[in-house]
Amino acid sequence: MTSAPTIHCFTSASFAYLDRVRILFQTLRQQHPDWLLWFCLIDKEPEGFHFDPKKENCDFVVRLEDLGIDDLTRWSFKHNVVELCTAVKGKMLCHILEKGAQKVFYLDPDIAVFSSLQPLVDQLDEKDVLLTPHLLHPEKELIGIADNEIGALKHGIFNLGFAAVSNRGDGPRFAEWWRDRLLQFCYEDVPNGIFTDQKWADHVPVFFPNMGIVFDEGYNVACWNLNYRPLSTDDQKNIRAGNKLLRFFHFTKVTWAGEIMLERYSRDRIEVFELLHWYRHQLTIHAPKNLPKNWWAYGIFNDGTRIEDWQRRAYRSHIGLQHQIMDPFAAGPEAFEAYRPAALSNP
Amino acid sequence: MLHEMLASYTQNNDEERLLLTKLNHYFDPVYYRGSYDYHHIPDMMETRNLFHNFMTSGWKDGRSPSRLFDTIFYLSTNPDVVELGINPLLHYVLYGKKEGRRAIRPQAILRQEFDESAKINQQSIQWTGEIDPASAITLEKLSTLIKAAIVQNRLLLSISHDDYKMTFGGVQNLIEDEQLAFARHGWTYLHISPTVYPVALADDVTADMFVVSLRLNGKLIGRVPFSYLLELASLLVKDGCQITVIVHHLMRSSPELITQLIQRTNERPIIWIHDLFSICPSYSLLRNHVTPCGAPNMDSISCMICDFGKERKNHIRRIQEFFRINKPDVIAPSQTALDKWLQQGHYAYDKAAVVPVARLLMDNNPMPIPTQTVKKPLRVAHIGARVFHKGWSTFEKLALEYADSGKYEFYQLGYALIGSLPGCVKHIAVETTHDNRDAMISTMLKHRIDVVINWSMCAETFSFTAHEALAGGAFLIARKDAGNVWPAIQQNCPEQGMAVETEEELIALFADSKFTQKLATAPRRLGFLFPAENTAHWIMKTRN
Repeated sequence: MTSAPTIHCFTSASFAYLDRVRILFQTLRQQHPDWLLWFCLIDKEPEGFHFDPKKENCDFVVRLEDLGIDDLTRWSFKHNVVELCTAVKGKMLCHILEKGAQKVFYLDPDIAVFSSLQPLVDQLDEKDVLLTPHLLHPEKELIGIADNEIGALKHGIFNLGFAAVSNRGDGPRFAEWWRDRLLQFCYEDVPNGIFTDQKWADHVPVFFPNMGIVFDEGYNVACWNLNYRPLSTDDQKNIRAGNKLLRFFHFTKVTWAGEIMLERYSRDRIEVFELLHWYRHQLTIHAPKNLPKNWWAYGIFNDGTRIEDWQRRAYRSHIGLQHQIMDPFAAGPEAFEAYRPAALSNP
Repeated sequence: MLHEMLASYTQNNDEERLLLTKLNHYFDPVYYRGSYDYHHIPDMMETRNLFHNFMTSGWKDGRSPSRLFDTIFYLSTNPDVVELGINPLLHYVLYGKKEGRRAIRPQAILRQEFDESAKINQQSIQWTGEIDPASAITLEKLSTLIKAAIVQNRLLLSISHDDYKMTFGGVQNLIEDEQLAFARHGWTYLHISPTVYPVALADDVTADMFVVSLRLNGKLIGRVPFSYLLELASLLVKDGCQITVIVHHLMRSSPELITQLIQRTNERPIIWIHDLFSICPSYSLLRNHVTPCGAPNMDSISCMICDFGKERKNHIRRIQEFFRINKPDVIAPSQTALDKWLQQGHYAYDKAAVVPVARLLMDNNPMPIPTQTVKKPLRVAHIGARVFHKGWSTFEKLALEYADSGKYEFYQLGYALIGSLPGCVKHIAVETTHDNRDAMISTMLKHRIDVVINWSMCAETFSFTAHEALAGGAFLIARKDAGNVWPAIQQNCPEQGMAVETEEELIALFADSKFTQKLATAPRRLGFLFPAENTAHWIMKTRN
C-alpha cells in the first residue's frame, strides 16, 4: 500500500507582500494541513526589521540568493518587483520537483483559499499541468469586452496566479521550459508581446497537450471574471461563485485599482464586499512590524536611491552597459544618466 | 449662471428643458438642505435656489444632490471627470449614464454599516478596575444597604448588559416591570450591569477588576467590584437568605464570574433568551452586521469571513461551559426564539419555557375603511429605529422607487431626526417612554398609517414593533425569515399581514395595482398591547 502523495505549494513575494503571504498560507493550512508550503523570498531585510522564517506558517523559506541563478546581481537588476517575483517561479518549481515532490501548486500571494483544493489534486492524476483561464464566458457589453476580453488578449489567456504541475509526463518538461523562458524574458512588455509569465502560458495547450484547463468557476475568482460568476451564499452559508463552491479568490490590487474593478463587476453582491472587508482586516492583522513603507531591497541602489523603470530598461536593453557595469546596484543612479530618455529629462 | 452652463451643452430651449428635467430627477431639495448644518444654510430656502446652489458650488464641497447620486464617489472613481472640471451630475446625465458609469457606490449602505460596526467591534476595551470615587461604595456600606432592604429573606440578583433605567427598549422595560412585580411580593431586587461596554463577553477579567453598577429596588446605589457581590452572596446565604440569579443578558459580562456568583447562591438560576447572543456574538445572527446568516456551522465560509467568526468558537465554548455548570431554567419571549435556541444552542438546562413579554389583543370589529381610502395615496410607514438591521435601508429604497407614483405616501415614525431623510419620506417624531409605552400606537392612529413594512434583518425573538404595527391597525408586511415577526402575524391576525421573501420581491409588489388595491381594502383591526408576564410571575407559578 502506498501512502498518499505529498502535495507541495509555493508562492513568491517581497516583504511588502508578507501580509498577503501569511493570509494565503493561513487559509491554505486550514484546508490542507498536510501540504508542504514554500515561500520564495525576493527581498532582504532592511535595518531594524527582523524576519524569522521559523515563525512563519510555512515549511520552507527559500531566498532568491539560494536559487542558484547565474549572474544574479545583473539579472535581478533588470526586473521590477512584479517581474522578479514572477521570474523565479519556474526555477522554484523545478527546485521542488527535483526534491521529489509528486504534485506542486503555485498560488499568488494575494490569493486566499476558502475551500478544499482536493478536486485539483485529483485532476493531476490525469493531467500534467493545470491552468485557470482569466475568463470562462464571453463578455456581452463593451465595457466588459474592453476591460476583460481585450485585457486577457494583452496579458494572457490564463491567469498565472495559479498553476499546478504533476511530476510525471509533460510536467517536468513544462517546468523546465517555463523556467528557461522566465529567466530570459519575464518582463511587463505588452507592446512586445510579453507580460511576465502569463503570455508565455498561451503556448501551453499546444506545447504540452496533456495540460488541463480548469473550467470550474470556483477557482481563481477575481474582479476580471466576477461578471459571469456572481458570488452568492448557499443554504449551508457557504459562498458560491456562479454555481460552484468558492475555492479561492484572487485579491488583485485590492488596496487600490482593484476595488474599482470589483465594484464594476460585483453585480451588487454584498458577498464581494464582505470578502474585501474580511481581506483588508486580515491584512492589518498580518502586517509585518517595522517594515519601512515601500521597502524592496532590489528596488534601490546601494546608496538608497530608488531605481527607476527607465534605468532597469536601459540596463537590460544595452548589452554594452551590462558589460560595463557589473554591479548596477553599487554603481548608483549617476551611472545611468547618459541613458535617461529625453521625455524624462529635466527642463 | 446655471442657464449659461446648461446652454453650452444644448442646442435650444427644448433641449435645455429636457436636460433640466433629467438633472432634477437626481435632486432632492429636502435631502440637500439636510446636508447643511442648520445654522449655516445659505440663503436658498427655495427649491430653485437649492438646485442652483448644488449645480454651481455645492458639488465642489462634495455635497450630493440626493440618495440617487453620490458626488464624492463619482469623482473618485472617474478621474477623467475631475480633469474635465465639469459638474459630476451634469457629466453623468449627459454621458456617464450611457457609458455604464455608476452614480452611487454599490451596496453603499451595507458597506458603510459593516465598516463602521467592525470599527466598534475592534476597539479594545480595557478593564481598569478603577471606580469613580463619587460612585464608589464600600463592601460594608453595600452590605448594610442590602441587608436593610431585605424584608422577606428573598433576594433577586438580576444581570443585564446595561442600566435598564438609562436606556429604553424591550428588555429594559421587562426588567423594570419585573422589579416592580417582585417588589409587590416584598422581594428585594438588585440589578447588576457592567460599566465597560464591549459588544461581546468580557475578556478574562478578575472579580476585583470587573466593575459593575448597582440598582437596589430601582434606585442607583453606586459602583462596586464584582468581588464584593461574591462576598456578599456568601454572607447572605449563610444568614439564611434565599438568592436567585436572573441573567437577562451575558453581553459585557464574564460568564465565569457569574458562575462563581451562582455557585454562592442556593437557587437554580434563570437565563432569558432575549436574543441569540448565546449562539453567536452577532446576537441578531447577522454575518458582518448585514447579512442574515442563521448562525451556520462554525467551519462554513460565512463564519470564516465574518467579523464575529473568529470570536465565535471561544464564545460558544465559554457559554457552553456556563450552561453545563449552572444548568439553569431557560425562558424565551416566543416559541420561535426558544425553538431556534434549542435547535442550535445544544446547551444544558433544566426547564425551558416561553413567557411572552407583551400580549396583543385584537379588537373583534374591523376598522371602518373610509371609501376614499382607495382613491387616496396609501400611507406606508417604517416604525422604530432607523437603522439598517431594522429594515430602514430597504424601506428607504422602496420609498425612493415609488416617490413619484402618486399611489403611496411614505412615513417614518421614530426617534427625533438627526441628519436628513429623503424628501419623499415624512418623519414623525415618537418618544416612547416607560410611562407612555403606547406612544407609537397612538401616533400611528393619529397619522392614519395604512401599511407598515417591518423588514428586520435580525432573527427577532419577539419584535415589539411588529406587535405595535398590528395594534395600530396597520397591514403589516414582514420579511419572511426575520425570526418571530411573521409568526407573530400568523398568531395574532393572519389576515392583517403578509410575508415576503426578498427585497426585490417587495419592491416589485408595490408596482402592481392589484397589490395596492389589496392593501387598501384588506380587513384591518385595532388592538391593545399590554405588558404580559415576567420572571416574577413565572417564579411564583413554577417554584412556589
